[in-house]
Amino acid sequence: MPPVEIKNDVFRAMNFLPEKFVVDFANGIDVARDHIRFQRENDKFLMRILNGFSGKSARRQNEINQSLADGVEGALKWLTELAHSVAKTNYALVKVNERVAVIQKNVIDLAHYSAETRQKLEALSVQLHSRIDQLSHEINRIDITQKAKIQLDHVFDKWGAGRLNHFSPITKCYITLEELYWGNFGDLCRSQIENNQTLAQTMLENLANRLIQQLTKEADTTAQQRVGLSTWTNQHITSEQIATDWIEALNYAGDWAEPDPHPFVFTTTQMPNQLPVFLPRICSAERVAEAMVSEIFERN
Amino acid sequence: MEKLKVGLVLSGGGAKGAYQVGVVKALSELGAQVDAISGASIGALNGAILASSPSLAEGAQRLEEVWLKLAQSSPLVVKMPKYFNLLAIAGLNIQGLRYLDQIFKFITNSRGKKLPNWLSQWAGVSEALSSGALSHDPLHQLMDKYLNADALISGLPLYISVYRSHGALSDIFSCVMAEIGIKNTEKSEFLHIQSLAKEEMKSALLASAAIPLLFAPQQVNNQIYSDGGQGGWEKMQGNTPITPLLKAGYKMIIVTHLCDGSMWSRHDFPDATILEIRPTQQSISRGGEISDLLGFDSSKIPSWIEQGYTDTHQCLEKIIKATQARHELRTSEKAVIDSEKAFISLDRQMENAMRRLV
Repeated sequence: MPPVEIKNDVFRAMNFLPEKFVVDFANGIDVARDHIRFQRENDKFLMRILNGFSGKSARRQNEINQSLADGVEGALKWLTELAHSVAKTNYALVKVNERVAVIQKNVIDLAHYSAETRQKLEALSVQLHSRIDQLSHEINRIDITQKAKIQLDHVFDKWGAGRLNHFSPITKCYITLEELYWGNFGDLCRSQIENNQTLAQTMLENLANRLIQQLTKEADTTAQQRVGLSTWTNQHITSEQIATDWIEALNYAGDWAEPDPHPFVFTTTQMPNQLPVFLPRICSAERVAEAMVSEIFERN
Repeated sequence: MEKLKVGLVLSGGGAKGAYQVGVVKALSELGAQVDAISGASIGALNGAILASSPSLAEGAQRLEEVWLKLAQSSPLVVKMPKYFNLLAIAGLNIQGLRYLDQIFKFITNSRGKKLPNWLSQWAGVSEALSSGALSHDPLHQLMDKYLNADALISGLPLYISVYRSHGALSDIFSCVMAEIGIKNTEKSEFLHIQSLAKEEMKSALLASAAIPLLFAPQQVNNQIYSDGGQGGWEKMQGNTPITPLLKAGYKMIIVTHLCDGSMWSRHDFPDATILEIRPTQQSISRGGEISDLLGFDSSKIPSWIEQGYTDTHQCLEKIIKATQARHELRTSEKAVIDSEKAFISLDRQMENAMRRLV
């Protein structure tokens, strides 16, 4: 809004907007003063007698009185207008106050709304974070699971494709399980043992089942058919040098195994002259598979 | 809005008319506009110069030039031969002074009539009195130099007051009677200068300023007129001639007075907006009424011009401030109302916006 413009050349404006009462009011002061000054300066005896006789004194006094009365009337009119104007201004102020009150209330509402929105946003953020974490974990778990599955398929495909044909079935079993233990399958299995034992158990059961399937194929037996230990331990390595390298590698890899708690692994890797006491001399594919899974995946 | 017509009244007062120079100068500086002028005596002469000027500012300049010249050389020149004649008659017939009372009685009882033959021994006195002690020649010369009749005809409307003379002594006597409150003088008449024949304009102006005994009355429209300031003496009806302006429809009148405590009353004209400029801070009289009336000298005129200028500024300052205050009040009041209108739409918008939050 443009600022209020105040016209300086008001006398020029007065030609258009004359207000008689303002002129009478302001100019009446000069008129009254002129008469009063004249009265004061002409108070000699003869002058007073002459002015009294001629009636000038009375007329002059009348002029003064009338000017003063006009002045008072002008002041009253002005005061009345001023009072009206002040009243208008006051009403305007009231409206401004009302408007400010409305704005204040709206600002309060907005502040509350804003605070509530912020709280909701914070809660949403927490939920979202949690959800994202969950999803992230889930994706991670799916990823690990997928990788574990791929590894599982890969090692069993490798076994099935005959890549480990130089080794005895139990050594194949050990090499396969050891690779899984140190790979993605082992990671997933260990993490699930801490969080979800049922799933870990299922994974190990599946693993044992795959081993059983592979071992039964190798030995041409059924899962529960017990056969002599040699069926599981016979090597097919022809090269002596390769056999020596593998024996050392197996010794090294399985040096953690003890005869009593890990009879199958100990026998497979350390190849003792005297077999451990707890190692069954005849056993089924099921027994071999479950024992090997248990010894390798449940070791400390 | 229709523009208001502003009239300017220039009262009579002899040499104190210099005061009006300052008044006109100040009015011009303050941007006042004058549409018509009315003057009496010296006010009529000032008014003629002003009315024939192209603008108020130019008029103020011309007036100042004339009055500063008057301060250097007075326009009052005694008509020596006639005056000596008058003095000789008075001296030779000193015993005849006892007849003076009879002369006054005659004058008061037979206004307008010529002196009878039995007063033929006073013929010289009569002639000397009727033709005035002072010469009109200097005034004629000034008017010839500074007053252009053609410019006056096409200039602002000018009204002057004249008093129908009944002879110098009679006129003086009437004024004395009015002054002591016994009987008011007859009312002055007003002449619209532009309505007069060109050759009568100067006579009319001289008539308005023809102080009895000092200047000879003038014949205008087959009437003998003298100083217009004499009419309606008690309320200065002739000396402060506002009436012709009011009759011509001017509602805003600026009135200048040349005497202290003028008995002219604004309350006699309730329908007009009147702005009186009266000598305020100091008395306008410098050496007594009669002395000031004829005091065309360099010691007084510049101070009167200055006083008129100062008084006008001080007088108008009150009006200007008061009017300005009211103007500001109204403007600010309107601004408050206007600003409120602007908020109506905003209020609605805010209400709608807040409703959306619910």
